Amino acid sequence: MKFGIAKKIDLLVIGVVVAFGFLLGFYFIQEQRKTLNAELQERMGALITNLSINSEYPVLVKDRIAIARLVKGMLAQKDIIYCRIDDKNRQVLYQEGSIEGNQTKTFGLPIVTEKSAKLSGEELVFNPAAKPGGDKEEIGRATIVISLAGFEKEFAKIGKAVVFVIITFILLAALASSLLLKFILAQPIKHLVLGTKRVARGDLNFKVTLNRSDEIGELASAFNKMTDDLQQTVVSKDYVDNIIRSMIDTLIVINPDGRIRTVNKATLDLLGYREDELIGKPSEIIWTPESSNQPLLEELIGKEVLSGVEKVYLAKDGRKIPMLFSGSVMSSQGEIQGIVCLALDITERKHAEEEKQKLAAQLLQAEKLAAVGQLAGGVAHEINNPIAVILGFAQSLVKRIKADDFLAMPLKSIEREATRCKKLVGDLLTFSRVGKTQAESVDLNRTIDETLSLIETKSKMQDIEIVRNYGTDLPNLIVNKNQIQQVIMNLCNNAMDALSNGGKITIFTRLKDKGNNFVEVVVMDSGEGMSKEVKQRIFEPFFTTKEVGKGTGLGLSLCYEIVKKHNGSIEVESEVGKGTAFTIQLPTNGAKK
Amino acid sequence: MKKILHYVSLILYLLLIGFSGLDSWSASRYRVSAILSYSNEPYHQLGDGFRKFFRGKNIDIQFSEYSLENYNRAEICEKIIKDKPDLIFAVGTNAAKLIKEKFLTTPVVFGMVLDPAPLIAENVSGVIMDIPVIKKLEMIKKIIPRAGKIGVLYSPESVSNYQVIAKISQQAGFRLFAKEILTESEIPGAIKEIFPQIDCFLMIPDSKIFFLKSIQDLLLESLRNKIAVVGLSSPFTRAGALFSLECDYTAAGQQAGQIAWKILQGTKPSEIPPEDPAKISLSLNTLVAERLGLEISPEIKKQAAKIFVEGE
Repeated sequence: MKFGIAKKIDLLVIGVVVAFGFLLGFYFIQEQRKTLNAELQERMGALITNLSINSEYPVLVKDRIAIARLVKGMLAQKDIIYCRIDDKNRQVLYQEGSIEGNQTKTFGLPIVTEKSAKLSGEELVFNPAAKPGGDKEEIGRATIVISLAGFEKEFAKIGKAVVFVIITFILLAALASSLLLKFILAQPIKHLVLGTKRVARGDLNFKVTLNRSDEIGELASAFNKMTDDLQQTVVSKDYVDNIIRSMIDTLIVINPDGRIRTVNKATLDLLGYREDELIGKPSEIIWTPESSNQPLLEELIGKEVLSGVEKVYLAKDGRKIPMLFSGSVMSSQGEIQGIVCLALDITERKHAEEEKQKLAAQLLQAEKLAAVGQLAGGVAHEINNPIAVILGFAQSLVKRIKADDFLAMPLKSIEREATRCKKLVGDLLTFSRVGKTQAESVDLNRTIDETLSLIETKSKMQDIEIVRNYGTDLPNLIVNKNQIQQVIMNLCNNAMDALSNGGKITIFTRLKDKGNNFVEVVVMDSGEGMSKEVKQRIFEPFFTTKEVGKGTGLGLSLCYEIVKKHNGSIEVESEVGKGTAFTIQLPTNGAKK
Repeated sequence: MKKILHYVSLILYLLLIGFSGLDSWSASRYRVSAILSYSNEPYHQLGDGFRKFFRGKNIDIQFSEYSLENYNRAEICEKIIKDKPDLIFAVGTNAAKLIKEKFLTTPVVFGMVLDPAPLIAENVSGVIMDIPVIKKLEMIKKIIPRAGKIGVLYSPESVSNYQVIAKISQQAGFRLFAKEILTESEIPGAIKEIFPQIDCFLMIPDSKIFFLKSIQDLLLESLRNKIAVVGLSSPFTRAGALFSLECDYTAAGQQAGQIAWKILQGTKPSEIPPEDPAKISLSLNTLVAERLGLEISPEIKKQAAKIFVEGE
């Protein structure tokens, strides 16, 4: 059974009243008993004293008739059941009455007379009442026995009256306290409790109407003020919640123990978590292993504010999302309450930057190539003829002399180097002439096949497997077939050069982009791969990783130029030890299969 | 020369002492030492009366007063010896007995003595305190005309008193019913025995019979039985006696003074027999009278020095 506060106080008050009442009643009854007893003692004392005094002369003169009269007079008193007068030898002079029952009490007093120094004759005449004074002499004893039945009856009557009064007092006090508590305390508290429940349910408009000037009234006023303030706070909180919800940036609040306390919608949408999957979890869940948050949090706590730091968040599906991170420490009264982390998804920006860098690199490359092309074209044209003359005469001389002639070796060297120069000049001229393309509708897959047939023999000799992975719905491209073949050829040759110990070359063709505006050709090898530094310069003219005499360093530059002229793009992905993949994108120009 | 001066000085010194003694002696012609048995009102009244007599006569008396309550017997005797009185005034039986015993030649006048018999001597005289029986009997006749039978109780101490009463009551025409009391326990019985036979009870000053309790008992019985009691003094009357006759103490003192003056003038004390009190006071209790059914005449009431009415 539930006991409300009013009932508890009521019970307490009743308990106190009952205890007090019984104590008071007990005390009162005891006091009444003492008073009655004292009154009895006093009355009997007075009676026995009077009897003793009045008995002095009769006992002195042994006047039994006077003594009997005194005894009878005593028996006529209330409650006295027996009276006796004895002489000094305890011989009964007169007695009357009987001692019956257990409830009796005996009172006794000596009968004394003053031993008188005799009055002289004249003293007797003019002052007969003078007490000469002298030693008292006991001449007898007066005894009375009283019945306590009347006393007990009287006491019982008083006791009942007291008990009745006490019980009535207890009942009245209990009733009064109950009513008082109900009206003064219980009802107002119930009203306040109702108000509290209503407010807890969200009804902030509820007001407690208690027009009292006491503490309860003050409590009611304070309660109403509190609900008003709460209403203001809720409105403000909703406003703030809306702001947080509407933020584009991600907001994460981390507790001092490193666990996530709050996340906003933007965070959940970006990382793909539900709120319950993040709240209470360690914040490491959202950081990539490389960008562990611990040093960051330590740095943040030290500096209190960090701004514009690039971090990588880890989405639920494993995606790594670059973020521009800002954080601040939230503290109150010197105590850290949490860390507020604000971060902006900079994926697009990163791409844009990469694109920009790429474009800048490509522009630089193109400028370089253009410059080189112009130079190469000019130089190649000028030395083409001298090279042809030197080569012609060298070949003629080699045919005429004997193999053991001392001039045979020098002449062969001249022939070989002149041939190389001729090739180089040819490449340069080709490089410089890449401008107008003679476009035609070309089946890319067939074109690649034709190109691969030229290197198949070589590939087999090097134990290189060539895998074709062609898209089936590729449209014909409007391209210069020879140049495209040259590009494929160069890429495959480079791949085979990288697979000196055998391996695999895979060629993919597919449609790229949602709108199918580009066709993608990927030449991938499982070779040595290249470093980042090499990758950055791979399309530079004359840049080569091969030994001197093994390559001119113009092959990939030429590929770059050709693809660019076709409004396409060429990119390289490579990692040392993991192979290389060149990806060419050529526009379809809206052509469909 | 020096010797002469010395003797002259001595003579002059002696003469000076002598003349001052002479002046002193001639200033108080008579010296009287008074000894009181008790220092209470009646005794002082007597003493005042005594002195009043001499003042009235313009007799120069050097009066010294001592009380047996303040000095013991030896001290008093010493003082009296030093006083060298011409006369000793003894108030009360105890004082009188002491003086009679110690001062055999100095004249003694007593007062406040009920029974002078033990004091009779050559140098002793005085005023008796007790009222003559005949006076009492006369008053009984006046107040209780129908009274013919009188009762008395006496003890061996008061047998002489009884004998006087017996003689005079008979002469006065009363029948006397008397009972001798030997022990206190006999008193109630004796009262009960006598009362049915008498009209009036006459108290004799005998402390062996009459003490506080017995007096209360007697008066209570008298009122119950409607027997008039003649008391010894006004306190008795107030307590319940019908009437009492007692001496006027101041007058008795004057009377004693008169006797003393006679002695100082040369009369021998033995020539002056003890006198009855010249002035007697009557006290009446009208409530008792009413209880007894007695009508007391206005003349008698006029005579009374004290009348006790209800509640006094």
